Amino acid sequence: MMNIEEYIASGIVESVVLGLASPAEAEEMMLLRKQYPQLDKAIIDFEQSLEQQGLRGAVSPPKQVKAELFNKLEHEFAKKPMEQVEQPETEKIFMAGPVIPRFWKYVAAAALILFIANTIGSYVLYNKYTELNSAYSLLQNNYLDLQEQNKSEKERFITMYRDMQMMQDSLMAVVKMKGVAGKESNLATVYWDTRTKDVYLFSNNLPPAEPGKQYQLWAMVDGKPVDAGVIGNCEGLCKLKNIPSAQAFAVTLEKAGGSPVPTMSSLYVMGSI
Amino acid sequence: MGDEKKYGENELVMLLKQRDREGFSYMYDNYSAALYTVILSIIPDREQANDILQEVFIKIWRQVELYDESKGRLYTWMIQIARNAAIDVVRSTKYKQSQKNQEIDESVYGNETEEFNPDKIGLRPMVHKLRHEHRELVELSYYQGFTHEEIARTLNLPLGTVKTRLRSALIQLRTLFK
Repeated sequence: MMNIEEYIASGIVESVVLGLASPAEAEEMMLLRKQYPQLDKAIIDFEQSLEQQGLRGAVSPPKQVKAELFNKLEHEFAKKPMEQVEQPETEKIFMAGPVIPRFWKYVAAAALILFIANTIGSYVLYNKYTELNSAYSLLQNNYLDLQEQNKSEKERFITMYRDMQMMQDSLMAVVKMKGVAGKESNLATVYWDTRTKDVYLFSNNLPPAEPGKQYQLWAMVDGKPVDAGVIGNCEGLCKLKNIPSAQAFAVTLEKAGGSPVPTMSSLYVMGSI
Repeated sequence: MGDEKKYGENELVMLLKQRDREGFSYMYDNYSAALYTVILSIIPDREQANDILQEVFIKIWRQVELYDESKGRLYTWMIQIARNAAIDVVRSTKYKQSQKNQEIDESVYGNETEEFNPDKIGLRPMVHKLRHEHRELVELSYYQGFTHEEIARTLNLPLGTVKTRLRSALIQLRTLFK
């Protein structure tokens, strides 16, 4: 079960309402708000305070913007006054009854009915048209989103496939680095290409680095630690430095950008070849 | 314009869906300044902001059928449309090009275009009070429209850190609301 209070306090509400969360996060929140009234209230509260904030001290646009806008949309507004104009005219026709031959009265009535039916018909069709038009652009947007998603999934797949092939390569030396005392659950693996001497690291289980810090890999060469590169923001196998020879590898947590010598107190995992 | 009529949000949405001219006019009078401010805080050039504002209202008018009350308030929906429209412009190559040219123009002719000081409007003054690392994330995501992944790459931070740091920045920001 999820802790809804924690979820609300995480800032996800602000992130979704301001439009900064991913579509998946937004979707999830919309589902959760139906289940949790506290969440629903938290969302509405933030929306209201954002609205108050936004309306206060806002800068008004120049007057001509509204005029231009209404010019552009003039033919899209519902035409209300029409019924009021027609009313007196029908009355006139009936009042003038005796003068106009009965036949023309029918013609006029029929013409009027046709006219009204036609107007209503066009209006209905026009509404349908705008509806379909907006539905179409929505679909188009969804399609583009999906395409984008598909592309990034494909890229991830290619990276994973490449990583998998490298891991299975028989000329790759595999060095399992186990967690040191107190950090036994941590694990990382070095893949060392015996041909090119390139070093790759796979973080099986390392806690996320704190802000402003990065993990750094060290190669132990004749008892001395040699910088083998910092672990940046990469998925799967991370390519690090080229190390011609080493007897062991270790990972420490260092300040972002790495350190010249390892901080032994923040040693996480190590393993020898 | 001078009449005192006030519509509730549901009523206003209904009028808009009925293509009512007065409803649209009411909405414009009540929300145009807020939307304009959001746009100006991203695109400080008034001429361009005017065009974007028009575009935004046309979009709101034509897509009001898609507005879903169960997912948020009308204001939230509109403000997201306005921000997205401004971000689309910021991220277009044409805009980036024009910004470069303008820098050259300014250095040669001095600044003559009618630009707002974006630091003084909308949420900007509050964003300015945030710690540097929070401000940076709000700037990149809210005002520049970068995705979390893009920010992670640019700042060389893990994706999870970007997400949590941005969220705590937003919580901080909210406490600064008046």
